[in-house]
Amino acid sequence: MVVVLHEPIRVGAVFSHGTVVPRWFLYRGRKIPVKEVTYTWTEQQGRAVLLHFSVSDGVNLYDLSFLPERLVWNVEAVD
Amino acid sequence: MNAFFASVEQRCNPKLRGRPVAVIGGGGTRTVVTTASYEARAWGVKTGMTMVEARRQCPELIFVPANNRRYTDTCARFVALCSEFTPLVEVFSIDEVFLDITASLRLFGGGRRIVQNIKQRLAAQFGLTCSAGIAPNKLLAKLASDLEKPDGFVEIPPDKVPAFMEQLPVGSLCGIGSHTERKLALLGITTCGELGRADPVLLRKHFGIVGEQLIRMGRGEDDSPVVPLDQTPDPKSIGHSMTFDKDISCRQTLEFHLLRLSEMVGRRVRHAGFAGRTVALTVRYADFTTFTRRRSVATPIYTTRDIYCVAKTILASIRLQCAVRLLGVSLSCLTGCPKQLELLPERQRQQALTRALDEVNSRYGDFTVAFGSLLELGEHSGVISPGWRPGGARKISF
Repeated sequence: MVVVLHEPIRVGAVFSHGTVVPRWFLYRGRKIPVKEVTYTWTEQQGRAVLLHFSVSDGVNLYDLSFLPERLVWNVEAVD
Repeated sequence: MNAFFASVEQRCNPKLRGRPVAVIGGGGTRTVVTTASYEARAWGVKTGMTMVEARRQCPELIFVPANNRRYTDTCARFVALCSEFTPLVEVFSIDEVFLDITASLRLFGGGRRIVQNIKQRLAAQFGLTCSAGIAPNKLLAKLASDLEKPDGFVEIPPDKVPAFMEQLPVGSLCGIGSHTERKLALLGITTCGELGRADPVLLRKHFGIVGEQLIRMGRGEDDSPVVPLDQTPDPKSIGHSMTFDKDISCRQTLEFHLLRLSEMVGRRVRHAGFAGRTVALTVRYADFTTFTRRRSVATPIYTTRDIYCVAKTILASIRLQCAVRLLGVSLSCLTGCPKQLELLPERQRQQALTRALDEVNSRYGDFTVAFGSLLELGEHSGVISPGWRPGGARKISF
């Protein structure tokens, strides 16, 4: 079941060759490793572009978003 | 792309891979299946089925609500990928494109290499598959791409076209639906070979000017060009419609929805630099009776307020027979947005207000600033129209 969260999080990510790949994130006091980035897509919010990452820790599926304009990460939903 | 929406969801969620999945629109109770995965299709689940019908076909079926942003973004990136092989890319639907590769064959080592390249990159970048067809024209290329699914590739060389068409059922051709197929069958025409040899006078008598076009289709002839996005003709109208979660009888609630639809239409009209003279209101009752009423005004309009006022007048003129299931608003008779400044102070204020709202909403997203009466309506997820395109006036952000 998908639970909508939209909570700010701290993320460890690798920026390389114009791409960004989340490796882990801190969520409610736990460090969650990203085992697989299953899909990425963008979302236009006015002039800002939000990058979405569907990531799996092997158990749950998370939708992480990154707003490059303000360098803000959120966990949008968990399944 | 194969079972596009369902394949994207299966890529997103590893738990869905290899299992029967049906993507459903909206999320409300009256939603239908928009795409079924191949695993679900094997059980007989089809597009357009209600959730109950689909579940009856496949008890193990997993319903997934559509995520339009994923699909529209994937489509835009796929079109960008295809554009690396030729500038002539026509977006036929959200998951289908035509490429004119005539001038790219030598550059990329032939059509087969181009197809292999696109398939490999689609798999690597998105984890998706597609079926491709190479043929002398769009009609045959579409036909070829439909022959092998999923992940297929069929080439129809020009010299093989007559033999290929001879025994092919007429219903296989894009543009010949079940109704036309039945009418042709009554004339004794069931294969493309028979259609290509049909008497033009007979077909003109039964199908009008389309009759000769049908004969050309039967011969595998199609001279329509591949039209890239930047050369797509301007739309004749711009509109939005909305199916409600529950049927609505209250006129005031209908007017709130009308205002939201007018704002959606107005935003797109202004963004594309148009104004229009005719507002159309479409109403569908709970029993699916559907009708459209139009009203024209003397000068082209483009502000939300003007569109809403005309639409509201139309609604007021309708004696509602029962609860409303769907409302639609569109603006047609489009022209370029008038450059004439408003003379009346009230109109000037309206124009300035519209401009200011548009600037805020363009910066921060649609409905960031909206009419107060829309606040109680909540969000509406919307569905992707068949006319959606990744650019121009037909692009709608989700």
